[in-house]
Amino acid sequence: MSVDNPPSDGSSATDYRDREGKNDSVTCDLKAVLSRLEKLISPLWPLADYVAVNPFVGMSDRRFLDARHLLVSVRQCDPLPGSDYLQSLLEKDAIPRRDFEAAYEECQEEYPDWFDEADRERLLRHVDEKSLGDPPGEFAERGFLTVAELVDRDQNTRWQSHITTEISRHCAAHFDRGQATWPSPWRGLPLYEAWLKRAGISKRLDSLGISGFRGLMGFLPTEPDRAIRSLLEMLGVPQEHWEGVLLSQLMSISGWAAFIRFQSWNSEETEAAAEDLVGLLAIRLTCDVALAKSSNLTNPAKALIREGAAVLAPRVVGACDSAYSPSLHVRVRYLVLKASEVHYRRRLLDRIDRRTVSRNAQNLRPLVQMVFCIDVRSEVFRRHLEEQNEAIVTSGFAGFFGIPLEFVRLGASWGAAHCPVLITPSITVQEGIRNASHERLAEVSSYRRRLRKARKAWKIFQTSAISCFSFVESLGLGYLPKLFTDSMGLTPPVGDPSLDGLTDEEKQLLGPDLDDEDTSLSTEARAGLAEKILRGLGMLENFAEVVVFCGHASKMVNNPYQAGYDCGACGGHSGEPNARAAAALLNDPAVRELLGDRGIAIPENTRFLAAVHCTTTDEVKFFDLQEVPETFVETVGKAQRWCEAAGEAARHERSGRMRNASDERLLYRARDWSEVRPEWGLAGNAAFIVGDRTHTLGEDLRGRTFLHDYDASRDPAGEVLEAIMTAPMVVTSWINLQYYASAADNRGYGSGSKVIHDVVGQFGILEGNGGDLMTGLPWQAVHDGSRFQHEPLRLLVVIEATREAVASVLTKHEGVRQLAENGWLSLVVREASGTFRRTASGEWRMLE
Amino acid sequence: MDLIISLVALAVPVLLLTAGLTPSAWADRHVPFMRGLASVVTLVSFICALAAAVMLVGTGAVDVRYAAVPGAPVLNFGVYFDSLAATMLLLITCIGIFIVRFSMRYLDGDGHQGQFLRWILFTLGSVLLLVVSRNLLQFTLAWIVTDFGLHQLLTHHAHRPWALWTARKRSLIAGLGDVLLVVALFASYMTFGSLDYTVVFEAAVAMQGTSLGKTALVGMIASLFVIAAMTKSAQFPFHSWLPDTMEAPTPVSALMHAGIINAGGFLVIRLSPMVVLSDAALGFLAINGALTALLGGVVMFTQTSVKRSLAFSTIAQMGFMMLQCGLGSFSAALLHIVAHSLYKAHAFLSSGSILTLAARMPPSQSRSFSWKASLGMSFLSTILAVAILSASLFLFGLRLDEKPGGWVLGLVLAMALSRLMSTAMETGYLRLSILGIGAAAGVAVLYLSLFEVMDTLLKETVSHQPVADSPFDITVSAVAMASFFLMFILTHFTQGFSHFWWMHRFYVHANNGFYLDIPLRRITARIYGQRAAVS
Repeated sequence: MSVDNPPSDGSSATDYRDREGKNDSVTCDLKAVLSRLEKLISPLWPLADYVAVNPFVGMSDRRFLDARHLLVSVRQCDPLPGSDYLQSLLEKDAIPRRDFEAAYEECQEEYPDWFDEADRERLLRHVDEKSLGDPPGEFAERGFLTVAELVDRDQNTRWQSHITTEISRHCAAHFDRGQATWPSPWRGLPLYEAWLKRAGISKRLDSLGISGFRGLMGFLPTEPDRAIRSLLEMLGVPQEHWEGVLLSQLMSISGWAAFIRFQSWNSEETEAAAEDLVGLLAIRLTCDVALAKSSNLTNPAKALIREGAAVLAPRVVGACDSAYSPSLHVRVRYLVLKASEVHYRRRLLDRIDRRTVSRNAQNLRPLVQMVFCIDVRSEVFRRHLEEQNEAIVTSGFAGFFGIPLEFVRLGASWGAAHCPVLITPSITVQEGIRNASHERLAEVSSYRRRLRKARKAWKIFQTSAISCFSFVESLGLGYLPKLFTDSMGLTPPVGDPSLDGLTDEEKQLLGPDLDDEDTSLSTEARAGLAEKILRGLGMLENFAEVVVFCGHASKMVNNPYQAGYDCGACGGHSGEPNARAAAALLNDPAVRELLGDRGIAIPENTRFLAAVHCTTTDEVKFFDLQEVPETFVETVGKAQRWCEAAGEAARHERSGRMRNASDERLLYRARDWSEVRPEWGLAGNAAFIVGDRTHTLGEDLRGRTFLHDYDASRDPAGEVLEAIMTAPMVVTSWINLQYYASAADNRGYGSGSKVIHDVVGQFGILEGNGGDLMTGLPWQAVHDGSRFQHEPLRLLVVIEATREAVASVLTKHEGVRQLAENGWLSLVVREASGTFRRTASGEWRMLE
Repeated sequence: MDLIISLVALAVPVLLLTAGLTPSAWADRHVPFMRGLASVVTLVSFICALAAAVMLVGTGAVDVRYAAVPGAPVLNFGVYFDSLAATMLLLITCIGIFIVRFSMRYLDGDGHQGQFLRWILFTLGSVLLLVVSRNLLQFTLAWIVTDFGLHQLLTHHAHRPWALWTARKRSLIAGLGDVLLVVALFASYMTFGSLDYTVVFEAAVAMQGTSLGKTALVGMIASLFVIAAMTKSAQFPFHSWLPDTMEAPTPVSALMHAGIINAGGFLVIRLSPMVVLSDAALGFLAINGALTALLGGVVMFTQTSVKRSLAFSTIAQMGFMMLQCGLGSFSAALLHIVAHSLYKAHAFLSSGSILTLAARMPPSQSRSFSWKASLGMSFLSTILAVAILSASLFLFGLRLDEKPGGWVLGLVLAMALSRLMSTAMETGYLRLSILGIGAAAGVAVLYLSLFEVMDTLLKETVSHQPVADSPFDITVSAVAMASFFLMFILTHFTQGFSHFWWMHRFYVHANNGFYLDIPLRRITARIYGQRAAVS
């Protein structure tokens, strides 16, 4: 298969050349290099909108092990699961031998050069002897080092930490969202220019021992790309190694690079942000050049570019070199990973195949149908809910229910995007109070504005360098009762402001208001959205009496990662406004009339409702019940009771996964301010099943599967399939790879231990005293102290459709094909004639 | 009765220390047991502290000697328990309960949770042993033991070089403090012929105002104690390790900032009869405290992470507390210790809520008023502040010149009230402005009532030597007042000055903590044989 430079990269390089034909070739090359480097960095969302991101997002055009090779050659990390974990798999005999044999065959398909017939016995013998082979030395796999690493290694110094912290300090001040009362004066400048200003003043690195650091700043050009060129020349890096050296520089500060990459992700200021990434690279280089000078390194480039790198030249980032071959240790580890994936796949498919439920149950009209998010946490709840009564059916759909909205809270001037980060919200929905007058809304809004200003003023009194002393002496004692109630979970440490200024009655009536003037959604547009939802769901006939859109949200206190537990399909927020908007649209008689014209007849006696499933407590809250007509009240009551019972059962199941937790204890976690594991989030996720729920009905999938409903017979053109494979499937793969990487190498891709986290700039996490910005999940989110709650497995996607239909989507969407064929996920198709696996070379192979 | 009170008070540290002696390896293997033990022990110790405090009411200080080394009566062991010790005992046991409870879930699954709880109990016990000590020797030993316990907690993540180096940096400072204490101990013995508080204090009180109290040796003793206290309470220039302790789990920060860092203040208040003998030592403490308060405050302004901001805030608060000590206002200092501990413990434990906190405020710092308009508001609110303060002083029948350090503390309070009202006015809402004035009046009344309570509480226990009569003391007060006034001006007009180049330079230096951490990094590197500064 092709591992060459992908067409997109190549063309962007030529683009630059065409556009700037007059410049000399050196500049052109550097620009192309920089734009390729940018693509390798995956974005990091700020904490308020934290969503899972595939840390290898820019690398899916490479095969998994090629990407690994590139990453380990520029940074101390390892995308393969740690030896300890893999060794424990071997020790436990968790995987039968036949799965190893099958896995070897798949390895052979993927990497024919590295897993040949001759090695087969040798590798399998390692498995039998439960030995992973000798691990390489600390820097053995590195092709490129930074000067700081080199000096630290040779002279037992701590320059990496000093330099990272200094850059971290600068970036934190530059991007601060309100932590510092006295902000940096250069926030308006590009990152690099601001650095030149700051570094020209700061005595820190000079006095720590990098003499001449401040002096260097005076010599540097103010454009980051020109600065990079002169800095590379100062280091004496030959042009063919620029790419590798620059990548190792950027990766040494990868957390901040990711945060800067986020700013150019969906925004209009893409150029400025892209320039900041180049700026960050220049900043990192200034430190290394200064260090090299002050350490009197002669010809530093020679030491930075290690022997192994020679085979990577000339274009590390573009192509993978065939001369590279992974060590035995790496191959055994890959084989074990692969075998654990094969093992999981076999067991899961066995479970599904065992089922012989016929589909005629569908023809009876269900009493209640509840639509849940595809999230793995829904699986547990859905299973228990379905067990309550046969009259209730559930289905899975992306939790924003097809409505990409920006939700503006009452009294706020802008809102949060409640949709997957891959798309931008198309409608703005204001929060309102049902049946409230305009005057009342305006009153609440202005009350909230006043309240916020009052809080701010009070905060200034609390913290100002002159008044903080009197504040403490007069009011500090008041924290004694606060400490008590917070410790007992009676009060949240900081109250949630979303219910400010409302009467108890109004709190119940608060919700998205589609009829607000600012939303200005025509009936036509509403019908369009409604139709999209129903077609996506395949819900075109046989409507239940009550259809509930059930979004989800988490509930916890004192946890900066809360957004990560909320609905990822809603951009790290609650699915509530989306569910309520969807229900409101479909209850609108005008919309229903238009839908009727388009061939979707929603019967009079069908009512749509919205609810939210709290993933922390498994409680379901229904909304807008006061508007439910009398005829539906009984059915809604039943649905509520079933949800209550299902919640109890789901809690009981989940408490088994929590150490020292009873079912009640689990409820308490939602208000415990000392809780580092309020719930397991999406830990354990391993598969994405696209198909008919009746085929998995009643099977205990252990909360490890994303479930999306799909009925190929209703989708002859394959449009719905295309939508599923390009959106939810990509998102689940992002989530899966984030958990995968955080479990596989928490130091490299996770965010370390939560107990020493420090929130920086109100947007990010630092671990301990500083260092780089943290990107992934904390150790506590994937491990319970005795074992991994998330076993690192790459996602298994099972689709119930024909091979042709799936293949045609793959052909059309290069990115999706790369995910499936380069080993970032494994794709399985279940059709009438059997179950088929997509191979690395793009063929289908039947699974027994 | 005295014996019973002393035994109940002693039970507190003894219980905690005994539980804290559980071997680490065993503790890690029996985490559920350790959790139960820690909960029970902290709760029981709080109840004991409460009982001892209640029994103390109306008795006056209790001083009981249990045993002594035969032939050397100076080496004895016992309990000295008065309202000061009782207050600290209650405060620290109370915070201990919250910290232990917080650590249950917070460190769940940590592998070394048993050990962690063990060292928390140990550290709590040793700091409380210090609180109830009856002589200087006991005090010094307890202090050394506390440092040891804290070192274990700071190196909980022993695999992180950063944690290790921070703990080492702190140990050096703490070790310096211990050496000073030991020297002071010998000097005290030579001067007073005893190490027992009661004997020493009596002698010291007798010396007050006589030429005996003005000897160089007495001055040296006071200075040694003062400097030792500064090393323990993160006073400039010994403060730089504190912001680097974020390598320790959050409950350790809470314990340290609420229960241990104020031990320096406790030292000065406890030994106040000796310390007040030297005007120079007190003046130095006051000026250095004011400097530390301003330094911490300015640096805190520029910090971008929650915990670091909190750390610099503690430095500032401890500076202010030391200023109060230096001015002789020991009651105010104790009030500060108690209130700050509770506030800071909560601030650390709730530091994960920062995003919710931010959501409760307006998204941007919008200033709707011109420079001149805010000047007018500041002026108006300053006048109002002075009026409110005068009225409340009148209400309480207090006079600033009657209380040690009264003028300085009064000025700081007035400036704080002014700040409160001017920020309320700057919101642009009349209603909030009026509310602000009401709040300022409330704060003033609350402040003075609490001060009165503390003053009554400490009437018997600390020295009430009036300080502000010599020209030297007036100078000290003047310098402190001037520096706070300068700070007042600066905080009011940061915005107005922000475009000046010197403010930019000042910003960068402040953001770097004025590089005051670097010497300690270098010294530590030198001592541990590293080639370059440690992190």
